[in-house]
Amino acid sequence: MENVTTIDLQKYIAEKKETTKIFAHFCSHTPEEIIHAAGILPVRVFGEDTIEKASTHLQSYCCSYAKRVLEQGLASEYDGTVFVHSCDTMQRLSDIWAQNIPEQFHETVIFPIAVDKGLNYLVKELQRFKTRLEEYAGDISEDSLKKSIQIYNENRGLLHKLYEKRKEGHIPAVTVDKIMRASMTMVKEEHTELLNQFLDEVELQENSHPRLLIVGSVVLDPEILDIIEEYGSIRYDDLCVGSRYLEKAEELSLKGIAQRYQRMWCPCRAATSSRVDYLIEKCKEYSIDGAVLLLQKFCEPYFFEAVHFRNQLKENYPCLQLELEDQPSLEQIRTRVQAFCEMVEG
Amino acid sequence: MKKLHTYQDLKKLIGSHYMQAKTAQFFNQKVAWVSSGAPVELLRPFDVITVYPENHTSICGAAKVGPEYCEKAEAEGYSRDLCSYFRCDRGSTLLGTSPIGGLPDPDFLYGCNNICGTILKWYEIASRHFDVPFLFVDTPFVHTEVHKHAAEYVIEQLEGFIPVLESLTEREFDEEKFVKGLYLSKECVELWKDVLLFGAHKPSPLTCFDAFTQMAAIVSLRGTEEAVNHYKALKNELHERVQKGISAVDDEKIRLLWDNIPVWYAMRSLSEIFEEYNACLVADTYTNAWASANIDTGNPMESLARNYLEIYLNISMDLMLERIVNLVKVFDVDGMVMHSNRSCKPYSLGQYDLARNVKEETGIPVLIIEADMVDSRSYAEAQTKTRIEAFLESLGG
Amino acid sequence: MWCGIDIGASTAKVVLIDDEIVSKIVVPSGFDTVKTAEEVFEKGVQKAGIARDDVEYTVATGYGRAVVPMASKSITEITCHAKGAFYLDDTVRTVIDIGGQDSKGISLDDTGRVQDFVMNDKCAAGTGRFLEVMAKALEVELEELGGLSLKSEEKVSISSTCTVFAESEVISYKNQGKKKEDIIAGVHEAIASRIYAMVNQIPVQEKIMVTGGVALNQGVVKALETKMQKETIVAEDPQIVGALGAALLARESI
Repeated sequence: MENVTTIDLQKYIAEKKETTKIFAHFCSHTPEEIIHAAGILPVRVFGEDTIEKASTHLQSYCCSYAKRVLEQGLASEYDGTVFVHSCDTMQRLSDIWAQNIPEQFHETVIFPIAVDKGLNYLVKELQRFKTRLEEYAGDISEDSLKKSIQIYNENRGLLHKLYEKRKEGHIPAVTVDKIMRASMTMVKEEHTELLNQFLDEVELQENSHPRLLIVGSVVLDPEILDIIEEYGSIRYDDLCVGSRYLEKAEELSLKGIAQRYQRMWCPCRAATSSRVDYLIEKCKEYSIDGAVLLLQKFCEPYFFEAVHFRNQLKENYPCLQLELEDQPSLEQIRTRVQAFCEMVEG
Repeated sequence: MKKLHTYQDLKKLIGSHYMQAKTAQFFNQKVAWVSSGAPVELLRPFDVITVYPENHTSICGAAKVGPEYCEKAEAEGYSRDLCSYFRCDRGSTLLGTSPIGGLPDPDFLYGCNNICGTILKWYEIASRHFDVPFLFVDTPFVHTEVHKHAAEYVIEQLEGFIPVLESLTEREFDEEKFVKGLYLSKECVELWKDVLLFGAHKPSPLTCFDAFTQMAAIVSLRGTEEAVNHYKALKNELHERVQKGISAVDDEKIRLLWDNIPVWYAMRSLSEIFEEYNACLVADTYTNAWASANIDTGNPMESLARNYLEIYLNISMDLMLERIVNLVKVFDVDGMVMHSNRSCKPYSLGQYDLARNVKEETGIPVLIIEADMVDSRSYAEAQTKTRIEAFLESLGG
Repeated sequence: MWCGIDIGASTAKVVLIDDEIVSKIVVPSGFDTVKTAEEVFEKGVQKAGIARDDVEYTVATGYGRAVVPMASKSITEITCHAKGAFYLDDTVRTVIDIGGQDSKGISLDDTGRVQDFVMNDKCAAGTGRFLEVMAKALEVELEELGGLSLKSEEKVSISSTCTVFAESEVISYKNQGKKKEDIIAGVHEAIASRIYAMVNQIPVQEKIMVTGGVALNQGVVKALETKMQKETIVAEDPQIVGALGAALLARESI
């Protein structure tokens, strides 16, 4: 059987294409359960490493994620694409994508940005999305939606177990990242099977490096995680492609999906309670020594949040902020991380 | 640059407005910081003095203090890649000053994300700094059309603010004043549209640089008598110019459309370059964003909701293209100049495709210049001038 | 005898210590980092009048620290600069290091430990490279910049933060007939602005020590003091502070 950390995801998608419709998506908020219930495979796109064609559509002051996924979109063939409203950049990307990439299905689920309101609106918006999907894929019964949500919740529960293990021992962050990406690529049930196996077999490592929390969205270049772990041991994260994805839908319905979204924190949205307070609790739980912020250059929502966030977090934990550029300079990252870990240890 | 007489009146109008804002507490009025696309009509019946940080930062930009104020915000830790309106405003707040002596502290903030998601983050920071409430109007983006549930959502929010505003301003919601304000808004918008339409004359009696200055009233004073009176006077002056055959640019040879927020600190130098080639920027997408409003005084909340959902920056590129093509036709332009504005992603991302679409649909050439609206450190003047000149030469200037 | 080697992108430094500093050397960095390390180590050992094997332990720091053959350990220049600066003056609480190709701000606690730091290694505008480019454009030697700027009476304003565009501005001012000293004063203000913006990310407390090659330029130091509205001190040999710190850390390693 395949191993969840070594599975060739490109090959997996290529094989699935022969039997299943594949929809590309870009966000942990995407209502994947509805897509799954329609018998379609939702695949999180992470993008190409090098950007050429995307530069004729997006200016230099646009974040790498948008450019990289567009580059991949221009070179690939998906049956459909589902965008969700998150930041200004992704909002425009949805239109640019629709115009330049032929596909059978294209939709943007327009999530509310206010968090204390908008639940009723969101349930109706999800209904609208479901109806659009049904026009393409046929009816989605209430039962199949329930089943899909259960399957997704099960997988999230297992991922949660994976995270819990990091309290006791070290699992390389690159491994966790691979597992997360695989979960966002594979048919959920298939990933669950492999993840179960991994959890049975995994051997936690000893690691005396300072224990770190990493904060960000998605680490586009996982080599960075390896560099960080030459000097530190990442035990917990606050990432989109990470712990934030673990949120379950508590009700097996569109409302449940909507409520899940309202609970998930994201810098694109209105702030309600203090995110830092929540993270400080997690830092205590995971015995964290320091936090590393991995912020994507040109990401407005994160860079707006960062100042207050860092000031609050710094009261309790040393904090390093790294700005990740499109072609990251690994040596510069290494110097900063090494200095930070020397500081935390010293 | 031929200055319009009404420019002096505008200065007085805006000046006295800021004075009013700074003395609001003596008249038991509350001061609100408002975003340029927010449904301000809801605030009018509560006698709120509406102050527009975006207008303020455009003044700072024009006064060339953008870099200095932005630096102050950057020293606090804010990235240089963030919107320069925010950085400039933050710097002004920290310094406690500006070319107009700084803004009066807000009693509350009223922001709407129909122009961008940045407003949400900016106003959250201001709300924390001044320790005042932030009334946030969430207007879902319009990719194809305004969905019923989106309109309902906005209406729900607006109605929900009424008791909050009553409490904040210690006044009851005056339905009559509200409707009166709507009428005034509607009238103001129609007058503004008429003002801008003068640009369709050949030659045009105004350039978009005039419009950029004159827009202060429709943005900051929409829904007031003063704004209506001002634009009536402006219309008269423009009418007079047409009668007397006075054109904004001598011997107008090239007519152009501008896209995006102005380069506030380079208005004079840019207008000089265009004038040199007898080119007149007869219209622009920015000022035209305030030139349409379907305000139905019989169904105020719904029409406000729909109106503010469909503003220029809250719609998809397809819908933007329709409006651009319309402007190209109505104003009969020979070319388009797009400002790729580093600070404004909703306005700038997609320009490359829009430029191609415009060229395809209308046949006119499009020039893209790179700058920032307020942070002149991101502006290479000499290089930009060369690009514009080459473009104008190719248009036969 | 203990040794600290600091391999920067522009220069390589070595410091040898026993109870005190025995020798210190600065050489330009070559293309081959290993060769540069060998060269500077040799020179340091010779100047100290000892044999290579007399060196008990060597710590390497700087950009090229990972490939220094004679080093037993590599420690970042942040930790090393803090160590070196605090050794020279234990009232120092902030170190601002302005090197050839990067600059950094380091905040120390009362025991000399690093409590926070910030780096600029992406943009030439806050580094020695900025000055090199401008010196060349003005046809003066790097070493003359400091002295000349102090003669300025009407400094010009350089608005571009990009080194390449700033160079255009400098040339433009030169063509306009502006005085060299006024242009240089403007250049110094520009670099001070960039450094100030970076340094403000950490708590800036006195005493503030400026280190690195650029600290030899009194004009930049004064411009920085003006921006920060605070006084600074400059070590006698500001370039070797990192290597000194590395040597001290070598001495502590058993």
